[in-house]
Amino acid sequence: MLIGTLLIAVPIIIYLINRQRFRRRKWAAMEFLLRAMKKNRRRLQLENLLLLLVRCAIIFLIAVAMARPFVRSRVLGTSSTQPENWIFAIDTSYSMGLRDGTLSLFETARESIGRIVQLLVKPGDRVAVVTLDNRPRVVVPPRQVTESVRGQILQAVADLRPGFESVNVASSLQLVLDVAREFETVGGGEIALSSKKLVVFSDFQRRDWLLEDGPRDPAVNGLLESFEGAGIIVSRADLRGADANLVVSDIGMSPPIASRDTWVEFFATVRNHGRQDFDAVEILFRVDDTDQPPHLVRIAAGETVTRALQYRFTEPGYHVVTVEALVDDLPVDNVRQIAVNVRETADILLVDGEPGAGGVERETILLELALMPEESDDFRRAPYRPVVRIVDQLGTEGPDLGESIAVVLANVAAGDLPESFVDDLKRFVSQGGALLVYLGRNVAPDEYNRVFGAGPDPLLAVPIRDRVNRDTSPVHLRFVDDDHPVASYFQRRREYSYLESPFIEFRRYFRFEDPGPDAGVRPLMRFDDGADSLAAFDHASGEGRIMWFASTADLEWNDFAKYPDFIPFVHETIPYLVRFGESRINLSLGEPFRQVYEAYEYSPRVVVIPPRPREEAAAGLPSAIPKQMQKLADENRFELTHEETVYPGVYEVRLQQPVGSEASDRRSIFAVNLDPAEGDLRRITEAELTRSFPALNAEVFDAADKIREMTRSKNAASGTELWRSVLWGVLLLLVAESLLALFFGRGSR
Amino acid sequence: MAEYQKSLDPRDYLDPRVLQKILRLEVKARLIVEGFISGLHKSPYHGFSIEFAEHREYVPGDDIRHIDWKVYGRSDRFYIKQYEEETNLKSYILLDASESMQYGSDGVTKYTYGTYIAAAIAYLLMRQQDAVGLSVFDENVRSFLPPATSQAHFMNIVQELDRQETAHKTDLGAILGTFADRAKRKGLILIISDMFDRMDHIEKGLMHLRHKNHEVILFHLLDSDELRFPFQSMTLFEGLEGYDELLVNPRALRDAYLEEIETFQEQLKRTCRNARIDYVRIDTSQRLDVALTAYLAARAGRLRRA
Repeated sequence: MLIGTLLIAVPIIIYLINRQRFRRRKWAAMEFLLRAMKKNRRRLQLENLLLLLVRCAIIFLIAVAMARPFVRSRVLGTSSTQPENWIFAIDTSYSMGLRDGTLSLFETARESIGRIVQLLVKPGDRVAVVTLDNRPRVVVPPRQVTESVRGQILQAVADLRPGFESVNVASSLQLVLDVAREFETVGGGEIALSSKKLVVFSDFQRRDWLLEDGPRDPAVNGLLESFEGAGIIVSRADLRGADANLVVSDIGMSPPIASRDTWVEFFATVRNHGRQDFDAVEILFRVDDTDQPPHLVRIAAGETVTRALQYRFTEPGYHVVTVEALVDDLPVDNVRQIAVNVRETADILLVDGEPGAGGVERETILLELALMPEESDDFRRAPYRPVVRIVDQLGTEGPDLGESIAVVLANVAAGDLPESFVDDLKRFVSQGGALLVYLGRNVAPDEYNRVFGAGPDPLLAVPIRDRVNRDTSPVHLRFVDDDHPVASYFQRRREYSYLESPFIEFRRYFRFEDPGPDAGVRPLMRFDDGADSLAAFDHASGEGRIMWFASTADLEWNDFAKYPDFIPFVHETIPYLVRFGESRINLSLGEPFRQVYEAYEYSPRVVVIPPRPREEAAAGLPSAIPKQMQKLADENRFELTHEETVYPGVYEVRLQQPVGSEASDRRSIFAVNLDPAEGDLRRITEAELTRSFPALNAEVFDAADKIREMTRSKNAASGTELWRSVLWGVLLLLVAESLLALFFGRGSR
Repeated sequence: MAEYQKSLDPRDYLDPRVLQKILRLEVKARLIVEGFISGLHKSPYHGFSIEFAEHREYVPGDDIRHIDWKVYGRSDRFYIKQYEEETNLKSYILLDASESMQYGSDGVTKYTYGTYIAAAIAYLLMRQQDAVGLSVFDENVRSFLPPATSQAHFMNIVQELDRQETAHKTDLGAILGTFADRAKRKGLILIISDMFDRMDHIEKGLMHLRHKNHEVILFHLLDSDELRFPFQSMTLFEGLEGYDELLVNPRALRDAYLEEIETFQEQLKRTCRNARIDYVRIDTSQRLDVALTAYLAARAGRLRRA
């Protein structure tokens, strides 16, 4: 404005310069010219002065217009002189990355905040900026605005990037409320909440707010009530592009265990969340850096397709399989990655509780045959090529768990187990190992409850109550959870399966206490014994998973192993349990990565290399994060914890050998994927918003429209469009200047 | 001359800008007259042409009295000379060579244009064996050639016109008075000037001429710049003939100036009318036939009156 005002001098300077710059012309008819001059001198001086004034006024008004003056209105401000309190809440969920033309919703929202801070927030106002996210944060705590603070706020807003998660509405609103209360401490004086303006920028994804039968989180209405009287202005991000969003919603591996030179199948699920069909979607699998032949599929609106890739890894170690679908307006959810730990062999340790019997009498003989049949036309080994190791002599320390992916205890007397082995087993499971426990006559409930049921993260979540003898009236199995992955296998093959038939009789079994709904137990099968006793269930312990089977693995107490269902049951159950451990290297966004390493193998110093979105890399952020592993108490192991899984993609962990070791450094990886549900871009309608959240009393506006309006007017809402009026004034003055100049004889004729 | 005629229509030589390219004034004069006559033949006013002298080939049946024996003597053919009786007309050309006459746009100053008129009329008159005299003046008479008819005299006139340079002020009143006294025998007086002088002086001088019974034609030369004042940018006008400088935005003063010069022309015209003087305003960007036509019309009128 000041510089603009100084520009007023320009016409005067031009006038003075013009008086210095002239042509010389010898003139004969001088007498007439002098006579004309004599008669018109005063008039000319007046005209000159008038024109100069008009031109100065034009420059002045242009400067005024460029300074964008505005008069605050009642919509975004109650008065133009009273200090106001602003809270800007911006949705940083990944759906805000949806591109609409050249700008994403997020960029538009960010720009809107910037404009409001520039145009409407005046010195003395108080401003805070928070994010709406799964883990909302305060970007700018309440601050009183000065020109330098305004610059800092603008910079902080400009540095904001959309995240990769969904919005947790309740926790986000709670944060907004907390920040609102902090205003009292800034600038002094009591400031009622009602004197604050909360400006919300979000795409209002329906799934963040609503379930099918009402609000997702009932607490939201209560929180909204706390905003009673506050001027809430809600920006609805323009979702014109929302009709077309493809999401790679899942990538899986079957079986979940990969060994060298064995076939595995990767399947990718792609969902069309939009309302229009995609006629040719290219689904591309990539193994490490090698593209596989793409699938070209049609995905109708609302439909989900699954495509698979069969692959055989020839090298053990960590591999990455990536699935990409056609890039649409929201590319972040068009890719998904899975980290695969390819083992040399899939070792399964069978601990036999009745070794003495030998031969076919051995407790684990049928398990062994099921897992490692002699290959023939009738039997083939499971695709993950399990290699069993049978232990029947526990010794004083018990067997070494080594590289085992799963341990099976079959009719083992808990009292016979060396304490160190039990500890090893607990650690094995807590770090992601799979444990399958068959009971039998060597099992004493009290002993089991004591040995396995103790501690904070027990291997046995439900105490064994007693042993049941139903020799005369045997019971049968019944699946109780059709969604259980093991059950679903048999449900799909119901007509071939004997599993729920009366042929498979259970004469003896153990009964467990009723676990109750909060025990974290997933029942798989129950007996039809009138009491619905648990026949098989699984639960977590640490990172690993345990399944308890209430009867024997052999034919002593039941006929299960006589029937072919026994083989798929074993092969479904063990990979099912192993999957939990394997998933430690396949995380959801925000889920911490934990891994334990042998202290004698590695130095505690590691480096985590996170994936970097392009713009973050450009921002010069560190690409490698040094980490110090923690030594576990009483153990010769290190634990690495990496909690900052903030970007989707593949993270690399570089392990260093201890000083003096000749072995080479090693690397491991883990993949982080975002929640595909966020790709469902359906937004909550205004009607739904008011119906489900009656406490919300807000003005809803479209960000894009609002920006346009704000651009047109200095005032974000309905204030006087001063700059426009000023420009009209300039136009009028320009016309007046031209007419005057013409009238005064200065116009070119 | 032949080569110019090849490339151009003779009438093109009536354009002062074309004449600029020709070096010698006597050649220019001839070209102007040739072009003028050629134009007359082709014009709808052809009948007008017989009112002035022209040589044409003898046609059987013509009165033998009309044969121009002087021409015959230099030719194998017989020529008819009309208006034989007009050979005793004396004309005086008065050309203004004051400083203001040096102004000219398009490379043709008023003085240059004036010399074209003077030379062309002299040539025309000489062709008809009329006597023509010349006086070039500013505040004083700078040269005076009494009327004569010879070819050599024409060359003298041309040399005299070429020789003069513009300088000094005008004092038309005094000059015209002096001339009226000097030209004893009444005749046709052609004044070629921009007339930039005080109106009362002009009036006095013109009346003086009329008192001596001279027929007067006033060729009032003005440059197109002086008539239109087309300047746009800030200009420092440096006055000729001792006037002060003036720095002015010409656009701002244009209307006022044009009003002044219009008033001047009106006054001059009125003065001429009162003195029964033929007033011919000539814009120096115009073709030269305007001046010649005006001259011939005035001459014809004089003959009729005689």
